Amino acid sequence: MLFELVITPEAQDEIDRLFEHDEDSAAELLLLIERLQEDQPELEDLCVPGNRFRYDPSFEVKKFEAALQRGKNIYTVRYNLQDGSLAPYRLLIGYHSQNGTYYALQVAPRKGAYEVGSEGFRELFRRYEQCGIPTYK
Amino acid sequence: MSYSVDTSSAEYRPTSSVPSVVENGELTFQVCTLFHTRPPLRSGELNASEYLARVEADPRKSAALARARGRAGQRVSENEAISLTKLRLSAKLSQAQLALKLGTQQPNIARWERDPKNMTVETVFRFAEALGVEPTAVLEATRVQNG
Repeated sequence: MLFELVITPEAQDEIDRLFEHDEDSAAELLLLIERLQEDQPELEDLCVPGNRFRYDPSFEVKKFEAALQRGKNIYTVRYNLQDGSLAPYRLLIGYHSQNGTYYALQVAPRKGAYEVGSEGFRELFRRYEQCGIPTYK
Repeated sequence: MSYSVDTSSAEYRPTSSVPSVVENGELTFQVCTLFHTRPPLRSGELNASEYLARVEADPRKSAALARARGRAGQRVSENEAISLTKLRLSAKLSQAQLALKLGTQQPNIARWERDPKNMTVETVFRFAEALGVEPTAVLEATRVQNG
């Protein structure tokens, strides 16, 4: 199976907005997308726990537990800035395992990205469903 | 004894299924292979390569991305030996851009960066020219990566 990363229009808009007020964070996020697009085996293993140790420059993929508990196959990607510190944003990815497609669903500030019941959380689920990713029961 | 997958839900419904029989000594299995085809992209959705092409068409974003590659080149394996990836990022090039310079396809660059064993001497020299480094730097990177 050939794996693919799809950027949703909503995430594209969020990256554009990020460019307006934090160009470095936005550029590092684009570099991460480029990296995933270039490396098919890396994309294939993206959601395998513990793989972060072999990524260089480093980034980390973690299960979004609150979403998984609700049957949504969503992961958070944390990435670093030029000084090695964690970027103040997260990329939230939905994974459609039947056809090997990852969807970049949302770019969210680290603070508040995981608040269950927030408007951002509901919007994340709305985008997930719009992409046609199954809800696993 | 039989096990089955409930494919009645639209979300799980395969595009096609191919029944077959597998025999293994005394056991016979009835197998049904389910195939899922990727649906067409929604309006506005872009796969990552299309999206990045759009980014490269925007001078401001393209320049910011090139700077980020340069920074990553410095950061990658800072305490470790040189690698082909580090050389490329230091030259502020994506794999696709380097592939264009070399007249090859991006997956070939990805393959060489992962495992440079199959690089020919000619490729090493072309790599060096495209990256603006001495061939010895590329050779050193391949030697280190090959262990």
